[in-house]
Parts: sequence; C-alpha cells; structure tokens
Amino acid sequence: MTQLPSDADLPARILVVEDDPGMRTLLVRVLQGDGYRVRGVQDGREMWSALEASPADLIVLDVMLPGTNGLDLCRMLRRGGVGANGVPTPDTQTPVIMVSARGEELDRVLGLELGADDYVAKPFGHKELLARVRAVLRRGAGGTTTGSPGALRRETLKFAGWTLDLRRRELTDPSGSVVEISGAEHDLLASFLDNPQRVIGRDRLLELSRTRLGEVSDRSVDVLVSRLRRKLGEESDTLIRTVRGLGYIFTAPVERL
Amino acid sequence: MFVLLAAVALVFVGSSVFYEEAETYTVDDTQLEQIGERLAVDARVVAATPVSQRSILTVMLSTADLSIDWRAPEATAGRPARPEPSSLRDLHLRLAGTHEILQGDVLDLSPTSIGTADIRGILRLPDGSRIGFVAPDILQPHHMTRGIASAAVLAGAVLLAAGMLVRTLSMPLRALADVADGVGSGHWIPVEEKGPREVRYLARAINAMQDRIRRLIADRTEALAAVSHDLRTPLARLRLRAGFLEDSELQAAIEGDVAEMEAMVGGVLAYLSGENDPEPPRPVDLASILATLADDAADQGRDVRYDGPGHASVRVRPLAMKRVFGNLIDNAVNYGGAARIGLAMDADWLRVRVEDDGPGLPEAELSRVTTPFYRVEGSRSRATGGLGLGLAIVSREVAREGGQFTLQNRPEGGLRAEVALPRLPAQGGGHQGVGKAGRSAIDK
Repeated sequence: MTQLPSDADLPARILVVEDDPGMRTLLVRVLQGDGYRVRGVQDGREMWSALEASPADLIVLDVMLPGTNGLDLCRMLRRGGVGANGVPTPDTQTPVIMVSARGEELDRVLGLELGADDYVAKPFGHKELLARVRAVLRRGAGGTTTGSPGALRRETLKFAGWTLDLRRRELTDPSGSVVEISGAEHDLLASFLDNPQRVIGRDRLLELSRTRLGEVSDRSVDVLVSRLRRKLGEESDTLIRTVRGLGYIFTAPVERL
Repeated sequence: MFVLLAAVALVFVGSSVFYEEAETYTVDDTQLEQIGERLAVDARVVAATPVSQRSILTVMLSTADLSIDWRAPEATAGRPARPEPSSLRDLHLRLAGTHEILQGDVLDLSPTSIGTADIRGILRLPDGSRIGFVAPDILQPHHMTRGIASAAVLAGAVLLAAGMLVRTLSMPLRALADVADGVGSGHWIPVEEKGPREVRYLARAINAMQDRIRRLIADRTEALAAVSHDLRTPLARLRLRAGFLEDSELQAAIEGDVAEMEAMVGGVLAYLSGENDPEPPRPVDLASILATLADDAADQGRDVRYDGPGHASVRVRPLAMKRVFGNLIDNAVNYGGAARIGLAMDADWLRVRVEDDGPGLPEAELSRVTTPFYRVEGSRSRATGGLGLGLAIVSREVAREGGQFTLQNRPEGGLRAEVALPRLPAQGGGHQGVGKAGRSAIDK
C-alpha cells in the first residue's frame, strides 16, 4: 500500500529527524494525526538509511543533533548528498523544514540560506507546525510558483531598482537599505513578481500569499497590499495598480538573477 | 590634595606666627645697650632739671634714635594699669641692663603692634613724673620678613615634595579606581602593576579579582544560557501535548503559560547573547521595521499604531533594533494598553517615540527600570510577568548603536520611551553600492 507508485493520490511521506525521544514521538503523532505517512529517526545516519530505503516528500529536521548537526545535514542534502554507499541521492529537491530551539533570527536566515524551505522555532504548536508543513508541501508541488523549490531558493528578483532575495526573504530598496517585510508581505510580493504585468485576482492572490499560513491572519488581501505599498514607497501606487473589480497588476518588469 | 594644601598652609601660618613672636623682639644687643644707656642718662638729666624746663629739655635731648617727651605725674601714681606682657620681659631686662635708674618697676614697655619695629615705653622718674620714649626701627623688621620668607620657602618645598609624593601614590591609585569602576561593565583591562609596593600588591589583587569575576560571570552566563536553551525542548513537548487535550479552555491556558515561559527564556537568551552579538550594522529602513512590528501586533489584536514617514534609512543592526522596538511596544501594550509609535528625523538624529496611555512610572523608577532583572514594585509587575530584562536590553542595544534611550512621563499621562539613533554620514555609501545594481536593472 505504501509503496504504490502513484504517490499523488496518497498522503505525503514525512521523515522526522529528532534526537529527543519525547519530541520525536509527539511530532510523529501530530503529523500522523493530520493524515501524513510519517517515519521518525534519531540522527543523521538513520536519516540517510531511511532515505535510501524509501524517499520522502518532506524532511522535518532538528538543528541540534548528535553527530552531524541539522544545518550540515541540510547542506549535504542540497549538494546532492553523501548518500549511503555513494548512491546518488535523489533528494536534493526534497523540501526541508528546520526545527530549532534557537529562536534567533540569524539561525533562521542561516537555515534558509543553506537551502531549508522553512524554519520553526521551539516551542511551536500543532497549528503552526501543520500550517508550515502544508505550505511547504504545496510549494513543493509547484502549485504556487514557477519551477521547483530548489530553483526558487536560488533566485534574486530585481524590479524598479528594488531587490528581493527569495532565499533570505530580504527586500532591499534602491538606496541599498534593507526594508523589513512580514512573511505574508514577502509571499504577496513574490506572487506579484512571479506574475509581472498581469492582472491577478484577489482570491488568487490570497491563495498565493497564504503559503505561510501560520503567520497569516484573516486580513484581506487589500490590507496586505496597502501595507506592501507603504513599504515600497512613493512610486508604489504605480508599481502595484488596482484594477477595479478584477484585482491588482504589478506594472514593472522583473529581472531574475 | 586639599588636606595637603590645608596642612601646608597651617605650617606656613604657624611658623610665621612663631617667627613673629620670636623675631619681633630679637634686637641687636649693642644697639639695645646704647638705647638703655642713653635712656638712663636722659632720665638722670631730666630728673636733675627743674620741672618747668623739662618739656623743652626733652625735646632738645630727642634724637633720631631715641625721642623722649616729659609728662606730668599721673593723678594715680603707682603701678601701671596694665601689666607688661610677659613676652616683653626679656626685652625689658635687656634694655634696663645695669642702669640703676631703670631698675625696678619704673620702666613700662608698651606692647608693639605687629609690623612696627619701634620700642615704646614710659619711664617713671623718682619724683613721680614720667618720660615717654620711642626708639624707632630698633626691632629690625627685616628679620621678621626674612623669617616669613623662609617659612614660605619651607612651605613651598614641603608642598612640592608632598605633591610629588601624593602624585606617585595617587596616580596608580587613580588608575586602580578607574579599573575598579569598570569592573562588570564588560571591559576587562588589567591594571598596570607599578608604583609603591603596597599599590603594586593592590593592583595584583585587583587583577586577580577581575579574573575571578570574569570567570564567575562567564560560568554563570553559560549555565543560565544552557538552562534557558534546554528549557525550550520540554516547553515544545508541553505545547505539543497540550494540543492533544480535548478541553480547549485548558489547552488555551497551557498555551498561555508556555508562551509566557518562552518569552522569559527568549528574554534571557537575548540578554545574554547581546555581549557577543555577531550581527553587523547595515543600512536599514527603520520605518519599515516599525510598521511591520505595529502591523504584527495589530494582527494579534493589540492596539498598536505607527504614524511616521514611510522611509527612514539608518545604519544599525536590524535584528537588534527589532528586539529593541519589539520590547518597547510590548511594554507599552502591557502597561499602557496601547502603543503609539512616532518617528522624526533631523540632520544628525533619528528619533523614535513609543508612547502609551498607562499610569506611567514614579520618577524614582525611571532611571532604575533599565537595570537587568529589575521589576517595578506593585501591581504592574505581577500581571504581566517577564523577568525585567526588556528595558535592559533596549538600553544596552541602543547604547551599542551610539544612541540614547530616555524614559519620561508624559505631562498628559502615560509613558514615553524615546530612542535617538545617530544618522551617520556612512549612509550615503550604501546608496551607491547597492544602488548601482538596482539602477542597472532599471536601465535594462
């Protein structure tokens, strides 16, 4: 049953790498409760053999692990992996969510730079964990953005003098100052930049910008757009134009680096 | 230093008084003998002259050295009204010498006032009449001034020597005091072990003490950080377990407790990590940070508003600033129910104000609340939890940016926290560096 080739119909396979037994059991239980097929392992070595045995659709990876730590494991995964016995690892594209007790944002940025798709800080609740897992799986399925998550991560987008670093989730204005944006605003802007000079409906935008469900409130798209406009400065009204009755259009050309 | 000056001044005054006492009556013996002899002769001549001619005679007998005048007998003849001061006794005896006419209590010297060199006195003649006499300039005032001058030289020398001594003692002591003053502020400067032996011992002891304190603090810090950090895993388990509870009310309560504990742990870790924060400063749009914080808080149902310019570029550490203003907003909401954030810029400073409508703080507390782990007494502390680290972190991080943090009660009520950050000219550099890449995108 679990080895059926048509995975699309089956729940996603999640591999939990966590050394604390209590934590591991709980993570497995929470994810199983939401219908995923979950395996739990306790360190990097077990992770490689588990991946060899059968692939996973998502890896939930603790940062503090005995032996090779989570950040290094993540880097190895992204580089093509040091799979067991030199078997080429097919998992360079497998989404990774880092779990860390170090809530520092520097760690978060580092994790994302190393190729992790998301980062949750302990202590987190069921809702936050499940929301992130869903969001990452949906992104991985190519439902929201063009291209695979791996390609997405390496991108820097430029528009009208501004730069959006998708890896670091960092927006830089034409003068070189870093402009702080929330997760939802980042996802909204990324959605606009993925579809430049095209009209996007409100519902579609809301769906696109909800990739980080854990942080998105019930704010309407209009509120998010107005917040984003405020941060984009004076020319932002022409940058993101309202199309009455339809939605919004991002007017500037976007360059991908 | 003042004690030393006072002591030297005392020595100077004391010695000059002493010299006055001693030197005033030091007279050349031969000169005094001559005066005594002439006085005796004059007295004898006057006594042998009829009373009617005595006045004229005294004028004629007066010379530059000794002038005399004759006076009629006093109504109450006899002993002088005032006894002669004992300090004049010696002079009296030497003046009287062996002259018979000057013996007994007939000679009455009047006390000289300070600074004069004259000997004045009255001589009673056997018939009861008197001769007043003045021998000017006989007391050699130059002796006196010489005495004072030498006292001044002595005092000066003492002052110089004492000054050098105090300097050699006080310089190393002052250095020690400076170091002792800085102990615990994060800068560890060993004291130079120099100066007198006792001071060297003291310096060595202070250095050893510094070292012990540093190790102690480092150990404690590490332990506290480790405990705080390790608490996160059980907290995470607790929170996940609470998620399985059927009782949603209980679940919410546990979630609340976990959130509070997490805030404490986060505060401790933020406070402890501040010392070696590796984050580099960079040009940041501070207005966007404030707007994002305000929006996030508003999304959580808190009354937080940012009113200010859309852009305000400044070179700071963005994460540190997020923590600073996050803490200020938390405080304002927790204690004042709401937070209003304002931003103003001038040429040199960028000022951010966070205001609330709460009860404010007693004036005495305003300067104390930035102390780590300090919590205001009374109702404010209990209800809102926390460890009393929020403002300590704010104060430290703002200082590290070269800024100023002030707290004051608003006249219309509530508390105002103001952070002033310097706007460095270096900001212009960022404009070119990244702007170039940005512009090339426009050109294409």
